[in-house]
Amino acid sequence: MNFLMKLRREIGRLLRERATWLFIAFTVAGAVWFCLNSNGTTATDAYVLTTAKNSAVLGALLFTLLTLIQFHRDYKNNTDTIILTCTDPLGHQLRRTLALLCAAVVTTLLVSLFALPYALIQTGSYFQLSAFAAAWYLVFFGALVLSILLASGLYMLLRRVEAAFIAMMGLITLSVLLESMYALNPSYQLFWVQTNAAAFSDLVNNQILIDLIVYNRLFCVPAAAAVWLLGLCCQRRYGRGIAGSFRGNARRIWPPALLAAVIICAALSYACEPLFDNSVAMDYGIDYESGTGMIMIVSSDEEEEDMAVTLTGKTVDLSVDTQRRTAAGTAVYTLQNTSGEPQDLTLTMNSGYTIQSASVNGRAVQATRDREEVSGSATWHIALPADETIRLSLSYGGRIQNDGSLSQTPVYGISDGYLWLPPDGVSPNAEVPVAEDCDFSARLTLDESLIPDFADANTQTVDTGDGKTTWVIKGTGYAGTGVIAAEYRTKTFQAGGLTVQLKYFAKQTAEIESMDAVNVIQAALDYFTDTYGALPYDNALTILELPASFSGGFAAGNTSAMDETCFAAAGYLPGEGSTPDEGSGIDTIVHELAHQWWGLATYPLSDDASWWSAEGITCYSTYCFMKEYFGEAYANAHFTDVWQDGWETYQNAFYVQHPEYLSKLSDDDASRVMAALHSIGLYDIMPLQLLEAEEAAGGQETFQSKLADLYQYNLCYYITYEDFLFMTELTEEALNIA
Amino acid sequence: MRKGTIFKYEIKQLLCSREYLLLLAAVIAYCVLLLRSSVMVGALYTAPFSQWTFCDYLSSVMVLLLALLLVLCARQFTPARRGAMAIIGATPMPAPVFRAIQYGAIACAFGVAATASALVCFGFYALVFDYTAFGGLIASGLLLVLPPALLALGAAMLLGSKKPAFVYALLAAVLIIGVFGVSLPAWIDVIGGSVTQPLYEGVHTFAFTPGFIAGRIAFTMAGITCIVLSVRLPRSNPPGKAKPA
Repeated sequence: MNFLMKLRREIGRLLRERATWLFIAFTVAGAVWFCLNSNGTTATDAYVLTTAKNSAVLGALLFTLLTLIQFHRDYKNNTDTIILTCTDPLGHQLRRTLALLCAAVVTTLLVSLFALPYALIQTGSYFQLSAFAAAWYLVFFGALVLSILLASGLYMLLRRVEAAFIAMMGLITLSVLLESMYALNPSYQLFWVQTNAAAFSDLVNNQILIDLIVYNRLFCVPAAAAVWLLGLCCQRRYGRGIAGSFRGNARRIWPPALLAAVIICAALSYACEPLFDNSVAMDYGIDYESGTGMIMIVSSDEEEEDMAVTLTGKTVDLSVDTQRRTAAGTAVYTLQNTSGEPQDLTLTMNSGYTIQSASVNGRAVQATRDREEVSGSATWHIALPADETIRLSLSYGGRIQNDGSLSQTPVYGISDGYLWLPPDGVSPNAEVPVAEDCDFSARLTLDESLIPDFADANTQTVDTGDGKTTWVIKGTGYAGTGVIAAEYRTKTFQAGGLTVQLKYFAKQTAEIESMDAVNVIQAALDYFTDTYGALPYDNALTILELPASFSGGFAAGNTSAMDETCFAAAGYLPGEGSTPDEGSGIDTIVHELAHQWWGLATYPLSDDASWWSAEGITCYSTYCFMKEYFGEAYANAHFTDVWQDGWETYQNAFYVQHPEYLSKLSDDDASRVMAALHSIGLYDIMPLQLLEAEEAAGGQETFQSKLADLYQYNLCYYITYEDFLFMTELTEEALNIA
Repeated sequence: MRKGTIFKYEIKQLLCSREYLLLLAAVIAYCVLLLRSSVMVGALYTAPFSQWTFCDYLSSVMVLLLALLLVLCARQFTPARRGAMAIIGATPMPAPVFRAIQYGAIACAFGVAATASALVCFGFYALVFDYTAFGGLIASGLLLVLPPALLALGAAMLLGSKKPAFVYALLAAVLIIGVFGVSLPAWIDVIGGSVTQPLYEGVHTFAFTPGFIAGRIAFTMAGITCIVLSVRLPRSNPPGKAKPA
């Protein structure tokens, strides 16, 4: 009887067993239950990804049990000696593992019979086959395969069912617990059961997140196969121990050769994953992060700029290939070297790119790369001659990488239908002062369907054809810009004296038409303009929709961006309100719009002595608009009550009442503890203090007019807490809420 | 052979087993991780050594502790162990007494792990915060940990004597509750996660809810009943062996 016939019989035997079908039934029932009781930020997230991830954990548990039962049965029934004497033991274990993998295939197909139509019905026109396949066939089926390989490998290695079971439970638990271990920032490749992919978008291609799953599986499968092959090589023979059995089994060359091959594969896969670089964690000094708003970073180390070389012009030509997921381009820099001596030019560029060639004033030069990567960027050096005017040409390209020292969820990347390139992913950034009259121009060639958005830049299309469109950006006084591009539709309207462009994903056209979001945005911009004054933009204000995986929003240049959940359609997700304004989505949109006044047009500067920052005044401004637009009850429920709860939590916080205990902690621990309380101060306490200020100033109208003076007087400048107190004619005591 | 000698042998067998040492190491490593994260900040910013934080810490460790207890129970039903019962049954020692000694050994091994997790936390309090008033914390900890441990021990030994797979089913149930963070009502909350619920609802003075206390009393009674039943009821023979005449 050949191997295939034996395999067919083994599969038949396994699938005729009631216990096998019991485990399959439990796994399928669990998956159905998770489908029916799912939750998430988008429909695809709730009805596809989260469901598959939860089912993967359950499936891994159950298939571990099934595998151990199958492998332990011969030993338990004392039939192993008989079976292994009349058949090749390695072939026998291989067939048993393959039969279990067939059971996993059957389970996945049965789950798909429910999950596919259910996802189709629930997600409707937002259904993405690639997202479904990644969730159920890479995450769920992958977890079953990995649990079979690991459980059988550990059983063959340890020859103890309890020990193998405990080890497997430990590995499954570890995979789940890793999700909450933010401080350790574990690699995404270690989440072997459920992966760390989250918040699949309904509206854009999820290829960047799917990559995360693919590269996770590309490491996990060979790693699990290595454990299985190690177990196979250690399959006990002739009553020998592990080492003796390994030597005996190694007489056939294929098991140890295959073991070595999969170990090399796993190691290469781990080391060469292309999504994240090896950036070292950076000391940001004071770093205030907003959950929904902007991030303010005040560097603790002032970098000394080399004044000898100045950038006076830069031209970039970048072409993005969404099929190969790469970008390639050329950049020409015009530099003024006033030192009269040769200089070392430092360039920072995304870690995933390489400089293919460089020339200075027509002569080829060598570009050398530092080993260390920081904040997702690699540093390159080019030797400049003593010439006064230097023309540097670079040819570069590669695949975008993300900062590996931050969260293991990719933000930047290129996919078919969506891309986000940071400024140093568009062109290398020369670390020299930029002249005020520096001419910057960039040509960006994209797929025809993609519409780019550049923060603070005028854009025009110059050429369309061959399925590609070339976009041109021109500006003065800066030398780079990032780009976000997707299949955007634009709704243009007038608000606050500006032309506002709401750029939303094409798939959401019908929902945007039927939602109140446009009216709210228009009303908010009018309100803020009437109350505080006009924004200092000549060009249009852009409101940009981002994929759900961004989780929140940001404001930069003349762009306010927020993720797609802010525009969630009415009653769409489980547990959501029946209108958009019942959720927090519209609050986030207005919050990000308010940042245009507080944070971009002016820069409220935080200090160590107060909670003053852009966040507090932005929250207060949002509250004022919401009170006028939706009424006092809405504003109280969504803002003042939340602030009050935060204030009470802060007051009762142990380390606030007993600050002497902070000194008992190490500096890092004390900083971590206070960081949690710091956000309460920024987002809850400061807005409450501004309510006190409002009362002290004689009412909302009077206070708002003083804020308008503050805004107009400090337009394009920093606003300190002292500036605020001076302009509003208030004292710190007046803002005391204790 | 004296009962003390058998007890020492049993407990040595448990404490020196690879499973126990591996799980104990996992429990302690997880405890250290919790101390450096959630305990240091405090449950909803209460003191790291408040009853709220300590109970939150214990409820987080509880899943691993119960898993350890069930693994120790499962060890009593391995084929080798069941085979040895035939020999032990031939000795003058009554079977219920031997089982009571076994249970005592399991309880002690569990007690060592539970005490180790508490001691790690107390050591942290004493070293970092100079806090040594552990009386109230010990009382809360005992109420949180002991009743579900008694229930798990009793249920595992009673069900395991019928079919060893039931112990693994219990283990899977505990892990599913723990891994998926299944939120159980206070009166059936084996893990103890509901203890801190009032804190998030605005209650600042620590107290166990009546439902939680009632549940703990029910767990204790059910656990003791199961233990007594499993000690006293005659057991089925190992598979493949003929019943004695």
